[in-house]
Amino acid sequence: MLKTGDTQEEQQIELLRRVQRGDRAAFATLYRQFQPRLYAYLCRLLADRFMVEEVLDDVMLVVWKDARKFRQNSRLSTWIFGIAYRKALTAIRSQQRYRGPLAALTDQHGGSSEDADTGDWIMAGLARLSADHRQVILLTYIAGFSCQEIADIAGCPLNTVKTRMFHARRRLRSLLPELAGQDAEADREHG
Amino acid sequence: MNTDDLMAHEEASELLPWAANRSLPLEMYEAVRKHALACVSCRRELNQLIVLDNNLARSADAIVVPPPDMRHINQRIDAHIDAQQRGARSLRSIWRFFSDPWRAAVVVQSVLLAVVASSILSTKAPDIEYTTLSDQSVLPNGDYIRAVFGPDVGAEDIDALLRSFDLLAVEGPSDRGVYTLAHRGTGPWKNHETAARLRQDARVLFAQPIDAQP
Repeated sequence: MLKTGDTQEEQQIELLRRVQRGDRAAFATLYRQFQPRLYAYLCRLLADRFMVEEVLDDVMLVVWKDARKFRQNSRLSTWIFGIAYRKALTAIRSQQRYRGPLAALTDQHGGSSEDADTGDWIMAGLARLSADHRQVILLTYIAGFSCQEIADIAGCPLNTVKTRMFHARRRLRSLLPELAGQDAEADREHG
Repeated sequence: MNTDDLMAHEEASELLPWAANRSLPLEMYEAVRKHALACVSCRRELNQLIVLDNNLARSADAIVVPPPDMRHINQRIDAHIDAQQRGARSLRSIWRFFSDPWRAAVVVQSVLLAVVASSILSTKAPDIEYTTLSDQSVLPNGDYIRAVFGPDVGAEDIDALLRSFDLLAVEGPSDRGVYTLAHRGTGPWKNHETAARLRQDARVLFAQPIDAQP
């Protein structure tokens, strides 16, 4: 089933119009609607919970200040995630070393241990990708954007997105057996 | 299945991630799915990407998102509004100050005096010694060569090179390093032939004959 959401999109654009006029209540509603998705996306990129919250606030502050700049030539979520993309990249570059995704430390997997292992490997694999490659994977699978939307968010051509995804997939494919091998070895050592 | 209707493998392969996350337009999704049914490697890749999608979605669901706490963002918005209002107040007070014509005239005159005084009192920069190979006379109509020399070729080498071709620089170098060359002798000369010979020299990057205007 393919994604729809025109009604929600219209509602959100109406909220943004009210934000343009300085409506704090409309801004609060928009904040509450976008906070979970943005938080989940930023959590996979940034190692520090405080940095996640700080960057999230940076993003929404830009939404408040630049609400008039939204031209409706893309979806509102594309525009907001474009801001988040750039803020996240800046934050990543300002970190001295990427210490791994926070969620790898705080996730509470409800599924089977086998599912937990696969999830851990994927998270560990993601942590080893470059920022650009990680962004493409997360924007596709965490935020659910299409290829064209990711191009709009990242401000790059469509083919660049496809190329980054190609390299990300190839890298993940090579990393995951390696990580699985490390895990099996650790299990053997610990009996 | 009619293979002519199938999407090309390369195109389908590129679109697999967005078939897995179900964000493709319906027609394109169906085309990718049809291709995957016929292509073993794409089918395997699509299944793996669906597993990746499910795992990442599950891990996203598992992230403990704290309830939105807008205190900090509200403080930042308040600070932003305060800064905007302060800026607007400053502009209004400047406007009120200058709305008095006498005050405005005094300020404008003071600024002009300061500009004039600084231009008179500032010391003149010393002339930069400038050497050029070119003759300073205005160029008459005639045949010339436009040339550019390598960046490591010094002025003395250029001079020696030009003498060997019986040439002299009559203009340049321009900002882009272009010299205009003329024949040392009088009378007609073969600028095309000379330009061709100049180009044989490794120190010459570019040589173009320029013919006299009719």
